[in-house]
Amino acid sequence: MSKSFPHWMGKGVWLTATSLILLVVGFSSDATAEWASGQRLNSSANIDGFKGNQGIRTNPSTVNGVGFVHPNQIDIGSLGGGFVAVGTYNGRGTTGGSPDCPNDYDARWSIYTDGIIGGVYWCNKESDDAFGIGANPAFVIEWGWCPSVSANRWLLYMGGTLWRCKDAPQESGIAAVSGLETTPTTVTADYNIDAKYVNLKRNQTGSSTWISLNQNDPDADPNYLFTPVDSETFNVYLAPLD
Amino acid sequence: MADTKRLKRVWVPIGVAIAAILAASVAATVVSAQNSSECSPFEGSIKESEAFTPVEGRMTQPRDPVITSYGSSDPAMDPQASVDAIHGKPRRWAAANGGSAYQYFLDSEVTSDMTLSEFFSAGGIQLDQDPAEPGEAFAAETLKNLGERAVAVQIGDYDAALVWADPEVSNTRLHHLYWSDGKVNYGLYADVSAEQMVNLGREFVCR
Repeated sequence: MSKSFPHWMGKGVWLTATSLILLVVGFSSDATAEWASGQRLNSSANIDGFKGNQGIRTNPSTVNGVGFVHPNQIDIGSLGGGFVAVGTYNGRGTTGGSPDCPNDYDARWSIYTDGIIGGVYWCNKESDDAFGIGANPAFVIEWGWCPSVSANRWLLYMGGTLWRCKDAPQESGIAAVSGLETTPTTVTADYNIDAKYVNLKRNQTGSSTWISLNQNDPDADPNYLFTPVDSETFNVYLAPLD
Repeated sequence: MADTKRLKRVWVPIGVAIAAILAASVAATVVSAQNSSECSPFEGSIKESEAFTPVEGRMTQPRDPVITSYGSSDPAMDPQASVDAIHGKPRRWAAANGGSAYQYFLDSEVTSDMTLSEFFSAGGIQLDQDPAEPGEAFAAETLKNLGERAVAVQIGDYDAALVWADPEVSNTRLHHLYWSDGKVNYGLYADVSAEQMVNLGREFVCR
């Protein structure tokens, strides 16, 4: 699906308005290239659940050497430490070390899980070409009982399936985040990999009630955009939103 | 003249017994030394796996958060968790919630915009404490889960797991040290060598 603007002036006005939205909600100082996300950052590590729906708006054309990712993750333990994630990806996978998320050069999105636990990165491709344009798969990340090992673990669900249980010394996290990203870091071009995140909720440690995510820490590459809609909804995209 | 044969019959068994006692004493000393608390400086070198995942090899890029995004310079925390300094570096920032405490130690002040990678590049040491699960064998599970990426070491009275972590934003590979006292799981992180990390851990637990 190609992007076009009526004329250059209209695009400039529109981008200026959207940039103002980013300034209002608080542009994070830790922006990384080719990334747009909404994050709930708590004052302490007390998030032990994160869920929502990932609205997939595009089937991007493959580009050799470029990966497209829609990650959903909880940063477990202290800030910037480990994390556990489940999401969808397309194109370039992981390289080096032991991660097992191979390249996937086609128009559909595959389910993956990844993270860092104990300082070591891991990745697993869980379901090949699971979704296409228009899909709204549900995802859930939570600390809970893993039936396969009869113990508490980080549970990673997508599309209604528990794909992986991961052991970690931390049972809660400081932040929950969803977004879009291109990889690797040398990629500077912007690709049309829009996503609309809805029904976003978090669970606080000690509670059995899910509450609205209420993201408070957006982050976006200057060309990608983040726009909040309500306490449980936001869009990440390359203008205009598909 | 004494009956030498009889004396021999007496002294040989005594000699054997004395030798056995001495041998047992030496063995006990060796065993005792092996079981004694490891607080002495580590000597030698630690062999670690060369395998790692580079930043460019990951599915998503590492982020470099600002340390002061949470916590404060002196938050309320369990006095037993609170640490004033590690290796002469004062605590500059901390965050605490329930049974968890995350503390940052640095020679200089943590500035308001200092990122995690900048903190470690400046010589920072981070200490994480999280509640242990009942019956959890934290170090053993870490060693099992991480396989060749973790090395078993002794820190004071504790079995510990030493990890040469995958690189983060700055392409720096920190060393992590994990151990537990049965109530609290500890994580110690710094940009130092494996041997230096073991010594940091011993210095901390043996203080």
